[in-house]
Amino acid sequence: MALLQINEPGQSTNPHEHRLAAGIDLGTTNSLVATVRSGEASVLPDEEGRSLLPSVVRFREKGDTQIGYPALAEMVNDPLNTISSAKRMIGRKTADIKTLRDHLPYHFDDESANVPRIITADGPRSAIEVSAEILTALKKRAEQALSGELAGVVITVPAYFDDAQRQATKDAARLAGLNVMRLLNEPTAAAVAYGLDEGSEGVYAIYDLGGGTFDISILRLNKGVFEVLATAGDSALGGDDMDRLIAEWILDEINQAELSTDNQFLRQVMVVARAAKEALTDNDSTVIKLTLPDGSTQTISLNRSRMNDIIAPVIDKTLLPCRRSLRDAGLDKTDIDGIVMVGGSTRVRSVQEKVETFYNRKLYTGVDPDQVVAIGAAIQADILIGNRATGDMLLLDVIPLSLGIEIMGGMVEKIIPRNATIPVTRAQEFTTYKDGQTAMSIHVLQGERELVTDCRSLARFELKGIPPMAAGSGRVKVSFQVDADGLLSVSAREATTGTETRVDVKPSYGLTDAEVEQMLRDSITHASDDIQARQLAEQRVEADRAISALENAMAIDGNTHLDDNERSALLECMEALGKIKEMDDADNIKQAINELNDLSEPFAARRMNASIQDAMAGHNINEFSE
Amino acid sequence: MQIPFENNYFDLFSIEKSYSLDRHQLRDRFRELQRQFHPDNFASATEQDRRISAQYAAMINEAFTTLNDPVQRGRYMLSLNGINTDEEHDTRMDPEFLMQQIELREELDAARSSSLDALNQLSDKVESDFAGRMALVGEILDGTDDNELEKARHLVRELQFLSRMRNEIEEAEESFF
Repeated sequence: MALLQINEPGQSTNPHEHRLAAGIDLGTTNSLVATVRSGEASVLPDEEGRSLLPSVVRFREKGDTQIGYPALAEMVNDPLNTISSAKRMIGRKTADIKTLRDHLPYHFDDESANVPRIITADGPRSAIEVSAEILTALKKRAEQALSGELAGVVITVPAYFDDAQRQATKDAARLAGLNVMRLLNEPTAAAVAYGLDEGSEGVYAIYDLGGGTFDISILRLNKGVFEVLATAGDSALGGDDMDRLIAEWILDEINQAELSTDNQFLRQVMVVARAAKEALTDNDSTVIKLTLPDGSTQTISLNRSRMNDIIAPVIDKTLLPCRRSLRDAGLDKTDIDGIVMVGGSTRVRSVQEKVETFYNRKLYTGVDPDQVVAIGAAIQADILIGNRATGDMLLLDVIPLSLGIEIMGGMVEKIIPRNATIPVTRAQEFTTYKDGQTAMSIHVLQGERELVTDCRSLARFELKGIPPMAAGSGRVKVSFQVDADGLLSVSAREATTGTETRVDVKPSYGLTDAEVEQMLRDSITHASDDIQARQLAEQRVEADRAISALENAMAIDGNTHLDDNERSALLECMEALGKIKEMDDADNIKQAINELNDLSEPFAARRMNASIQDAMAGHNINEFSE
Repeated sequence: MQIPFENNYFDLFSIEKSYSLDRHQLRDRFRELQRQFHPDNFASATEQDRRISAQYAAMINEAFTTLNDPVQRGRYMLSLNGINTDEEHDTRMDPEFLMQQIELREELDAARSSSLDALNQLSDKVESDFAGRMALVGEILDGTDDNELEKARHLVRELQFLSRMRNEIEEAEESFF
């Protein structure tokens, strides 16, 4: 088919070459990396055979950073420099994590800073940098195990992550030197791991309760297509909250509420609280031992039914999103064929009991709830890198929260509703409200509420150069585009003059591109000529790819879709790129690629449109011949 | 760049142009097209092919969403007949219908503070109003009498009101859990 041929040149030049790809589950509590080898997806263990990497980083003086188990072991002794649960802070501004911060032992730098940074022995660190350390460790693990460089990864994020949280996760990957092919929603990844294993068809709810995030997604599985119908959740709710409730109960029991300001002791209480929760999965009761700051010890016992009462508020809080997702999918509980349980916190017995009661449906708990997300991500990575035939499987995901812009009166006008299937493009026209208005300020928001103050502010930008007109006559078309990663870009265009402003939404309180670049330069592992050499190599590969794709396309149907002028212009431009490519300037190569792309865009679009027409016609012929 | 595609959404899915369409067939065709045009199929292609495929995939999503929803489908079919149902340009509504809406809203407020049962009864009423109007819209849009189109326009506007009411009832129901 014509369409596949467009695809060919972009795939590896040697069809037998296996490119290394991995799926990464960057979790609140633990992180994992998995890959597909000989058609089987499996999690890659560390040198000691452990598949989990605790998402804990300890920053020590002079960059002597500990990651994973060694850091976890020091959490109680060195609470201020040992950072855990960075995922709960990533992509959030200082004010957003106010309540969270009250529970955390860390010292944050400037209260007014856009990106909250924790003060450590090795300087201030943002959640993005902490996550980058974890990703770097996983990258190293995978590259050692696979004896080669990773060509691309799929990183999972909670389905309920907003644009800022997704963008921040992508920035962390960039700092770690990873090529992110896709940000994949965790419940969707879990469905892939299950669906491909069992070849199931039907409608499934994926209940994903992790350490710090909760997602519920409803998916329809049909002949390898995973179609997300709706998703809902809470990006700050999880097992951590259960631990905290148990910890508060412990402090109460031993009458030591005043010790709740002692960081080291508080860490210890959190640790024993989690251990007690885990012990009560298999046992009916457990004994909790504590060493108080004065050196004395305390022993209390906790049974399962008491714990169930303590943590009930957390579990009950997950049921509201469960209802909302059903409503958004236009389904009833009885339409659901089964529930897939994902995330370490679904090991808690009362979570399973309450979910089973709520849906009155079978629970699937077959695959290790800690590993299932990484395995699904590895399968998707294997497909995206080109190691298996496309068309095997397709994921159609949705955007979790509505996107809109601020209008008069501090209200939000929604442009893309939540649960729209991505990629999605929507535009809306707005008019000027003052005579002679020459600029319009555009404030992009995400959330379900009607007031600007209740939604997440993503970006602000200005469209200038509107010709002065009477109020209401200036018309500005604002277009939102959400890509397959769930990331937004916005453009605004004035109708009469065609003045256009375009922004990739970078949350105003996230890291700027310049900051990320600076961090890359600062890091010891990325010496500056290293970056330059890498960029040059990347641009050359991209140039080769662009040239060979175009040559191939022209050979196939240049006659159909190009006139002589267009053809010679393209050939000339290609030749120019071929020469520039041999020189050592990455920026110049990039510019020449862009020029070639711009020139060949109409041709590429005509070819794609011809494929669509083919797909339509092919179907009509089939219908008639039946 | 605007992608060159001039067919209507029914053609895109190769289904008969009909208000009372077969939603299973629509979904099947939607999946078939996305299997071919979704950007994942172009993950290792050039950046340009990826960008263009994303534009087509977005259009296929938009087309599916439009035809799958009874209100949007009605508005779309009217627009194919040159009739604009844009609320900004047309605020005229049947006074009797508006009165009914005000009554429904009062009932919703009362039900909100009384019981889930009351909400369910209200929901049944709205659903039956909705289904009745959908049937009428279908008769007109799938019929041959173009003089009836104006009536269909009113009905589609009313469907939109009812659809909003439906959402509000469902939201109110959540507060009982």
